[in-house]
Amino acid sequence: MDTQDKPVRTLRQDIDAALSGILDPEYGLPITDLGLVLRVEINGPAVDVALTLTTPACPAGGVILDGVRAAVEAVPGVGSANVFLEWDPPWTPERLSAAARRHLGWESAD
Amino acid sequence: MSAAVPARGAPSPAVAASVSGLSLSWFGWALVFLIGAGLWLLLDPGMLLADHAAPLTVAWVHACILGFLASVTFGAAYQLLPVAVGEPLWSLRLPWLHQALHILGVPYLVYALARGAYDQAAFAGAVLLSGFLLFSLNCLATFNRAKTKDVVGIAFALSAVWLVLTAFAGILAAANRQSAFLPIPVLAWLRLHAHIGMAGFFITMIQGAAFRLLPMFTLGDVRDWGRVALGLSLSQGGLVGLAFCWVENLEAGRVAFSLLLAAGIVVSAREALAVIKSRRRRLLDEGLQSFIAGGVCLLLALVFGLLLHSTELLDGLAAGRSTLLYGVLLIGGALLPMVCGMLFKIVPFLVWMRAYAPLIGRARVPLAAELSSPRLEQAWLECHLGALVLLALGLARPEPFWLPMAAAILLASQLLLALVLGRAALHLRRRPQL
Repeated sequence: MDTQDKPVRTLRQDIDAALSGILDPEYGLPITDLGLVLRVEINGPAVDVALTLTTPACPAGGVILDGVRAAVEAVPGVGSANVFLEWDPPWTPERLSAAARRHLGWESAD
Repeated sequence: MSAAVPARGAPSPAVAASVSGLSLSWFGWALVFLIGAGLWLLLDPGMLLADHAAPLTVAWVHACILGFLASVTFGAAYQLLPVAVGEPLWSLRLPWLHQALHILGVPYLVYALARGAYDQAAFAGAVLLSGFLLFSLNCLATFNRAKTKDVVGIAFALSAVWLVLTAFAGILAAANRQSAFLPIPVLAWLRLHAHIGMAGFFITMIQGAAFRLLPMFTLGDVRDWGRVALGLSLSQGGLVGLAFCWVENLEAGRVAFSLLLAAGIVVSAREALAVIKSRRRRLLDEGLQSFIAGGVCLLLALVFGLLLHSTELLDGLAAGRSTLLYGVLLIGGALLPMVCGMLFKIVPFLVWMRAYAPLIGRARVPLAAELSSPRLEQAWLECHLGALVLLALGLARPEPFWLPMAAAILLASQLLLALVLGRAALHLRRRPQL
C-alpha cells in the first residue's frame, strides 16, 4: 500500500483519470462526461465517491459502482474507496458535458 | 475496503448475470422456433392459401407467435420487469421451470393443431398455461413488492393477466372442437382468443415497456405520464368491451370498442413519438429504427383491422385471406419488428453484462454497442419487410410464384437475425483475462 506522500492535487487528478476511463456501456461516454460523478472526497488514503445514474433503475448500475470502486482503489495512493449513490438532485441531461453533447449529436442551446 | 452499494432497484452483478443468462436462453429458443417455422413455410407455402382457421394455418401461426414472439417477450420481460418497477424478480427459479414447460408445450401444441387433434391441443394448452401462470405469478408478485406502482408496472401486470386469459380461451376453443359447448360461434371465439392475446398481452406490454426503454436508449423524456396512462386505459377499456361484445355477439358494440382500443394505441404511439422527438441522442440506431417501423405498421394494422370489423368481409374465402393479411400486417409487420428492434438493443447489452461487466474498472472492455452489427440489422429489416410484401402479394393474388419466394426470403431474414444475435453471443467466449 502506498504512503500518503502523494499530493492531494495529484491524487485527485489520478482519480479523475481513472473515473474518466470508465465508459457507460450504452452511450459509450465516460461517466465523468455523462455527469454521473457528483463528488470525490479524499480523506488520507480513503476516498469517497458519490455517483448518480441516468435512471434510478439502471440495469448496469451495480456494475458501474463496482467498476468505479475497483478503478479508484487501483490508483496509487488510494487505500480504500467508498462508492455510493445519491439521487437528490436527480440526474438531468443538463449534466452532460459539451463533449458528451457533441458525441450524442445534441446541439447545445447556447 | 468497502463494497459498492447496488443501485436502487438494480440487481447485484451476480444476480444481473443470472437474469441475463435466463433471458439469453429464452432468446436462443425463440430463434430455434422461428427458424423452424420458416423452414416449415418454405416446405409448404401453400398452406397459407387455405382458410385462416385451417389446421395447418393455425398451427403455423401459433408456432410463430408462441414459439418466437412469446419466447422473446418472456425473455425480455424477466429482464425488463425489475428495471421497470425498480424491484428484483420475486423468484429467479420459476422462470426456468416456465421455460421448460414452454419448450415442451409449444411443439406439442403446434403438432396437435396441425393434426386437428384438438383434445391433445387442449392438453398442450394446459401445459403452456402452467408456464404462463408461473410467469404471471412472478410478474404480479414482483409488481406487488414495488414501492412505486406506475403505469409501466401496471402495464406489465395487466399483460400477465391477459396472457392467462388468452390461454384459457385457447384451451376452451380446442376443447369445444371436441364437444361443442361454447354458446358463441367458433370463429368469434377464435377472434376473441387472438385479440386478447395480441392486444392484451403483447401490445399492453409494449405500451408499458416502451416508456422505460425509449427514454433509456434515446436520452429522451416522457413529457406527459397522464397521456401514457390514458393510452393504456383506453386500450384496456376497448379490449374488455371488445371481448364482451364478441362473447355476447354485439356487432355495434364490437365496432365501438374496436375504435376505443385503437384510440388507446394511437395515444400511446403519440407519446412514444414525443419521447423520440425529445431525445438528446440524435442518431436512431437500427434497433430503434426497427421498433419505429413496427410502430408504423401497427397503426396500419389498426386501420386494416377496423375495416375488417366494420365491413362485411367476415364471410367466405376472401374474408379468410383478408384475415390472414391482417395477421401478416399485425404479427409480421408490427409486432415482430418492434420485438426484434428491442432484441438488437437488449441482446448485446445482456451479453456485455455476462462477458465484460465484471471487468469494468479493471481492464479495457468494449462497449455494449460494439457487440451489435448495424449493417446486418439493417439488412434484416429490409429483408423481413420485403418478405412481408411478397407474402401479402401471395395472399392477395394466389399465384404459384409469390408465396414460395416470400417463404425463401423470410427464412433468409430469419437466418440473418440468428447471425446478428449469434455474433453478439460469440463475445461470451471471448472474455479477456484479468
